[in-house]
Amino acid sequence: MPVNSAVLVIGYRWESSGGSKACTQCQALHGQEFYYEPVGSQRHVDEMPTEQLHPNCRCRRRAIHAVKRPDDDEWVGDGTHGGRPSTNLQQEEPPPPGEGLFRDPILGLVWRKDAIKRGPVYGNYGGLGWTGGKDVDDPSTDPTKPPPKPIDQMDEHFEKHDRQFTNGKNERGDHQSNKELLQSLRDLPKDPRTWSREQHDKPMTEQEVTDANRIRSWALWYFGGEGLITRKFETATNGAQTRRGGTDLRTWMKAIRAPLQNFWLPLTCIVLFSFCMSCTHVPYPNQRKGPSVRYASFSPKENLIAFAFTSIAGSGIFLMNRQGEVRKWLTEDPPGHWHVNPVFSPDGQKIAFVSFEAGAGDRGNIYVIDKDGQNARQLTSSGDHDRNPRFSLDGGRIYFIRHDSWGSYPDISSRESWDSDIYYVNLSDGKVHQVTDQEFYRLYGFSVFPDEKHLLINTTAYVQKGYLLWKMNISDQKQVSPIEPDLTKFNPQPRYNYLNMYKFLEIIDTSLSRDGKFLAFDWQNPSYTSPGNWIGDQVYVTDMDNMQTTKLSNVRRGAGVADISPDNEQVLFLTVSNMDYSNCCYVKKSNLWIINRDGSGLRNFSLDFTAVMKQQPPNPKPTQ
Amino acid sequence: MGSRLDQVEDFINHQVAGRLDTQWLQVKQDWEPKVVQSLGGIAQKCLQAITQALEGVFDDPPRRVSLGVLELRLGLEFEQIVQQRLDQTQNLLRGFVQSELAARSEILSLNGFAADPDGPPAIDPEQSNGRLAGLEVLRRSTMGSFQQFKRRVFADLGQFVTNGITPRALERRLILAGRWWAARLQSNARTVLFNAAARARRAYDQASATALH
Repeated sequence: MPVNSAVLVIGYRWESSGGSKACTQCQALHGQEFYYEPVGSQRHVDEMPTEQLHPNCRCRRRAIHAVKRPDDDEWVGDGTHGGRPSTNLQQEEPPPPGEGLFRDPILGLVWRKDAIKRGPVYGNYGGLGWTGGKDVDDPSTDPTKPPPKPIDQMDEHFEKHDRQFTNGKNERGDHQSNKELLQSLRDLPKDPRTWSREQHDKPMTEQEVTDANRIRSWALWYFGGEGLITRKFETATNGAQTRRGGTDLRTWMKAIRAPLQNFWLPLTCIVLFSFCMSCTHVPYPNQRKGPSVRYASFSPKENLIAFAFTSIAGSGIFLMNRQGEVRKWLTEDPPGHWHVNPVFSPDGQKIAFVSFEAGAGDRGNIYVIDKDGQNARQLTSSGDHDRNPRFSLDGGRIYFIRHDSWGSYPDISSRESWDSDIYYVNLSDGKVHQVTDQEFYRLYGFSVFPDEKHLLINTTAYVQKGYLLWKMNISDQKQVSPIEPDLTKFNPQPRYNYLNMYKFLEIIDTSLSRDGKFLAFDWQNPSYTSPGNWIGDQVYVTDMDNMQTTKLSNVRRGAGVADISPDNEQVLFLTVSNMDYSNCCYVKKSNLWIINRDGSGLRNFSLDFTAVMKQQPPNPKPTQ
Repeated sequence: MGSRLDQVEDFINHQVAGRLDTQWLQVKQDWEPKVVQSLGGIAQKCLQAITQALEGVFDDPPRRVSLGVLELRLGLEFEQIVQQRLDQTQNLLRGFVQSELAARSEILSLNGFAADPDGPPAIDPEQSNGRLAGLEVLRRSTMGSFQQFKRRVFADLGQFVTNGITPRALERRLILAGRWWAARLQSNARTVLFNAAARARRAYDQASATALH
């Protein structure tokens, strides 16, 4: 059912990884654009290299595309294209779709006038944040009234899909739910007139048939793409196969010499295992999962907490006090980006965070901003995924993980890479320096000890030695020693025994206190890992002097540690449970918790956004 | 209304960009391992053939071998392995190009929803079967590195047969030669694959731009 519009590729943007490992040829072309119909100083596509620049070249050509408007004489894209006449299209004006809605002349879909960026809508339940024939944030919604019924058979499928999300069935299975919807849409009879319509006596009008067909085509395309992403997600654990070279080398070494122990199978399974574990604390948002706090950290000087929050009503980095009153909306996520990992500088005046660009080779860059939201400054722009910023003690440097985008598993939210290292950037001159040169395989996180001579690293790189936590000497990186919190009082055999081959402490997320005296982390007790009694990761805190450990959380479905307070008395942690999110400005029960270090005083945060939702964050254009 | 249309366009562009990125990732995830494994596996297979040919040679007492017989036998086996795997990889690349063209069409036409009424642009099948897939380049680069590998292996075997090097040294040298060749083949496979992807996409984009002129 084509409409008179099209998406065309009008040119390409050359992209190299841009990172420190890119060759000079690749770096020189990085970011350059080439057009089929260049205007002014633009370059023609023919000037773009047709082949990769060298063997194993990692450059890519990102398409620059534009949407053709049927009633325009221009191809409209990024505004830089010269344009070309389109066919002269005459269309009858269709009837208006309803109050607060409009039908676009490009695809002929129905949209919310005030929420176009949430996508098109259909009936009472078709569309993101569209439920009961209204936007989820519509203040006129009366929660006491029963929601309206779906308008037809397709709307019933949308309603079921909505319900699955609302009931929280999809914390780990949203892809499954999307696949089900996709299949339901495919299974619908082709002619909408034959769909069941319990709420309507009259047959569908021509316009209704057109609308139904269009939204179904759109949804099939949209969720079809989700299907691709799903497969990426599901096969993330096969990533070891694509690791540079390794598999073959080992296989034929095995063929010519005595059989080697098959390293990859168990490692791949460990990847799967720890991938599941790491889902407890997902730092990168999926907007469909509903609102949630993604990360939080204490201010060292004031009674403040910075946190990354995602919701349809507003996303970005916020400041609140320890009572949960949100005081400031510091940054708003730009389209396609997520601001995550906010951390305070030692003087409490600045906040570093990561701006993560999903789906674009999974890039992340480190930014710093004043605590009042002013003076945003981009500190890194490598083309790789920079993450986990940590200020040095004097506040002059920000340490971070540079996670080679090209060495990533397909889903960046797994925080998995076979090529990660720790770097720092000087705030004074913006120069980036490499700290480790290990090309870590799966570097989950790190902390810098107060002496700034040692690092605490959390990696599966040396899993066969039984530990995921290591203390590394920066000046002599061969000097690594395991860190082993005493967990025997919770389980005499605290190590996870993987296929009787590897026994290791399954510790994933860590937070070292500012003075290095305490370590908070997530640990899954191996006694509770079978499907019948699985409880997920729980938060523990260890005294680094004697390795004595206290259990802090005891929640279903697991918890993930966020930060230890500057006085070492309290710990912030996150859970995966749904938030009680009654309206745009008040979260009665969030997924952010605070607890005393001795395990007492557990408290859930209610988040009151009333004071900040009406004022947009300053969100200044960052300077580099 | 104008600004609303701009927002709709932004939305569509954003969605399309996401899908195009997914298409690129799909190459990395689905096709790269297949193609790299298919071509890179040649080195492994050839080393297995050497292992079989040398069976008993390191025993005590050793089985006697002549360099001529080894060269003849291995030469034939190598040729067979290379040809078979090369054909397999070329078939993979042909399938890959077709898949890329179909994916491009599906994404940019929003699954046929927002498409040129005349249908997707026609791509010359001759192009898609050969030039776009880079079959000739693949063949040349594979055969080139194969000749180098063969020379290296036969030189090592020659030294061994004439007692110039010990069995252990031979083993080590063969491993190194195999490692070198596997790395070269894998690198070539990746390069050919990503070139094929870039050519196929560009051919589709060019054809659709021409068709709408």
